[in-house]
Amino acid sequence: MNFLLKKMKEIEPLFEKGGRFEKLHSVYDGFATFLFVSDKVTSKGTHIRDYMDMKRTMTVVLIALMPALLFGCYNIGLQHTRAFGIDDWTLMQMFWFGFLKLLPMIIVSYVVGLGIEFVAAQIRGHEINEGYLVTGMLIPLIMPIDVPLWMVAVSVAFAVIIGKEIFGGTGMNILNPALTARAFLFFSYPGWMTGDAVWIEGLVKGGGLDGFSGATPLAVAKLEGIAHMPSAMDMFIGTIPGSVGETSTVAILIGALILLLTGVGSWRIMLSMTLGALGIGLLLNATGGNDYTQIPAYYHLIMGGFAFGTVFMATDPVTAAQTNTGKYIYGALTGILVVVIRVFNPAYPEGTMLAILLMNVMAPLIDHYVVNANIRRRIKRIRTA
Amino acid sequence: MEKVEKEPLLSAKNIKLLKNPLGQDNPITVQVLGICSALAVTVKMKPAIVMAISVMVVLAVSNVVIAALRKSIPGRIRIIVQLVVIATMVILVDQFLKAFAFDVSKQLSVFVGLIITNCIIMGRLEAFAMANKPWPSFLDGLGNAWGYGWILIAVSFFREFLGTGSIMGFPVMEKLGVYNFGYEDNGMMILPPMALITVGIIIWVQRARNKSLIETK
Amino acid sequence: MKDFSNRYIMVFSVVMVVSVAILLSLTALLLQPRQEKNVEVEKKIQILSSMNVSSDRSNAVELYDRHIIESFVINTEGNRVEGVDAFTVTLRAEQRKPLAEQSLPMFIAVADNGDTLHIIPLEGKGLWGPIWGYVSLKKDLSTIAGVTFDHKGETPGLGAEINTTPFESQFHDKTIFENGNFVSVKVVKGGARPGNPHEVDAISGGTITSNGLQAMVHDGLIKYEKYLSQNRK
Repeated sequence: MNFLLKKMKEIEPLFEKGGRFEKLHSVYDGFATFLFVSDKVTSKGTHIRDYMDMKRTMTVVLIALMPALLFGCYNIGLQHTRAFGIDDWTLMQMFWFGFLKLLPMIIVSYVVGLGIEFVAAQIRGHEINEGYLVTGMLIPLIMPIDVPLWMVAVSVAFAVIIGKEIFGGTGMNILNPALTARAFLFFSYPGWMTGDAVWIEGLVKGGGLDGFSGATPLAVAKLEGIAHMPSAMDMFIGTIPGSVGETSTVAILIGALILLLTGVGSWRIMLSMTLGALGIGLLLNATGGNDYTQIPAYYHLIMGGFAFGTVFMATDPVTAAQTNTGKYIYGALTGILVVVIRVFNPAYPEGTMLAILLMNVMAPLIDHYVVNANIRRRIKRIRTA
Repeated sequence: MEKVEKEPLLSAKNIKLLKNPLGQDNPITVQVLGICSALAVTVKMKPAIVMAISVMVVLAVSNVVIAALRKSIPGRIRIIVQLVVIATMVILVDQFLKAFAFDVSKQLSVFVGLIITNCIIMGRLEAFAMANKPWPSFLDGLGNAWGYGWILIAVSFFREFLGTGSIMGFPVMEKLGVYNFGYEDNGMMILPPMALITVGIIIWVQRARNKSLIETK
Repeated sequence: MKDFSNRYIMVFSVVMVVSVAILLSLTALLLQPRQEKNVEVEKKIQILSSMNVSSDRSNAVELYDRHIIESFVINTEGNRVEGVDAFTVTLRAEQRKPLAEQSLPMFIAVADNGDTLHIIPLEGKGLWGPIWGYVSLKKDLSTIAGVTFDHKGETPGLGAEINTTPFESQFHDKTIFENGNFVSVKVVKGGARPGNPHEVDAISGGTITSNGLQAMVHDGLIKYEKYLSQNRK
């Protein structure tokens, strides 16, 4: 490592102002800070610069994603064996099968996304934003496994350009880029994002067992009735069809623990979102309305994309509310919306994506009112004093 | 300011009336008027072209009528007079479409009727035709309608090409055989949000090329 | 702008309104026959399409007159109702009436190969709006010769697929009766069982539209059950 550090320092002048590769400074900087902790110090005034820069934050999130990713690989293999009636695969075989299916998606996501980020950074003369490191991993995890790779590429390009660069890059975006990519695919190529066959590798091309339905628990509840849903235990562990990373609540909870212990993820949002969903779920259980209102409230927490969305999407520090009070409101409303969309919308069984995107848009408004309320309160205090 | 000297029909000033609305004074991308119909009728090129022509007829004729009557219209009821003229023109256009271009009029459905509410038209009547002679008003109407129309047609070109793989109903993508390689049409292009995003991209390109359009805070 | 007297304003308004009214009524009067013709041709094209005769604006009327030999209205008891023109019945209005009072249109056609076909119009609800169509039955009044469906605004790529040939052609030779009992045709999610004469594949991802279509076919045809049973040869 020392050798590498020396080498990097050695070539640094080339990228400084006036150096030969001045134009590529952002590329150099990107790599250098990715490899080593930033040694930047402020030159004017007194500021404290934390070593915990954005890259470290991103790394923590990536580590937190690993359990879901690994379980996702295994589950791809598992669902494949179930659908095709294979019963002699070992655990490693299933995992390896899933890993090889997932890897190209991850590569495409990173190559396209980082490529656009590099180009945009050069044009603007900015540093390369590391925001994409996490987005690039999230995107494959929230896709059905059988989505064609070129569609992944198109949706990544859309999300990065329209969802992020137009607003000024990482930190300026209104919508969560990974969810933007998913929403784009969802509305653009619905044949690949909905239905029963898409969640299991190879089923779209046919050849699955007769009468085997690859429907997600949400779709099952909608079409065959709540009684046919998988058991709560299966949904909690995650051996059910669904997007790659979203099925296992256990794996996501491990990730949540990592995020909370390191202080990277906001516990306020996670807590209020869970309570919001649970609350509206119980309310609907009590009032009724249509068949889906009878889905037990806690089911909403362990099926579909709720857990994944709560832990990794809603807590995105850029697109969530910024004020602490705002975070509670934002989280609770997102949780409520997820369940409302699931229960009352006939067309889209998956509510998490739409709920979070909608609340992303509302977040600045929530902050605005929270800040204003605070200002009013303090003015009042001054007047009465 | 009555002019004694007769102005040539296409003087520099008049040409400007025709040209400005196409670019730097475009009703859709700069003034952001008439957006709703730009979203609704741009799924395919044919309805978009018919819509553009309809708006052109309505706007040009209403402009001329109002400009011709401008000195005899009582100021107190001028808005109502303008509305009556526009509404009459729109109903005429709608009736003609229903009779002679039934298929397209079915696709345009209520949006022909909604030309009445298109802000561009009221805006031009009130801002230009009420204070100018018929001929410049006619040119102004043509210019603005064409400025509106070309955006409509451009948006509909992208939406039809990417959304259904055809241009003017001709299945280009199918003829190229790209479906055999796993290509699929983009369903989102057919949905209204994509029209808004396409208009947004056109505005982006326009402002990137013409910095004077960027507002200063 | 000059200031005008009230009297001037009154006269101006009256003249304006009257001239506009005259202009518009004249146009409406002149164009109405053409517009009605358009609507009529549209309907004829659809009816022809359900018996697998493709037509366009230029020849629809001619083909319709050649193929459709009779049209009449029946009630749910299977008896003919006199004095109603089958062609002008609007199903949406009929469906709001009590069942016994509904007029059920029926078109009798002769196909190119000489077969007699019975064509029944349908109307129902999709996901986002109305869907409608025509079903033509062969001589046994059970086997479907062809169908045509259309919709107002179903989701492109999903529900909107109901008016495409791959979906419609599935209905060919399906039967709506099983041993004399009405069973309709089911739209089965996940694929129809091969060889089952009462099932077609649903549209993947277009479940609500598929279900709406299945309900439309069932609810529409069951009203004709008595007539079809009585007249079966």
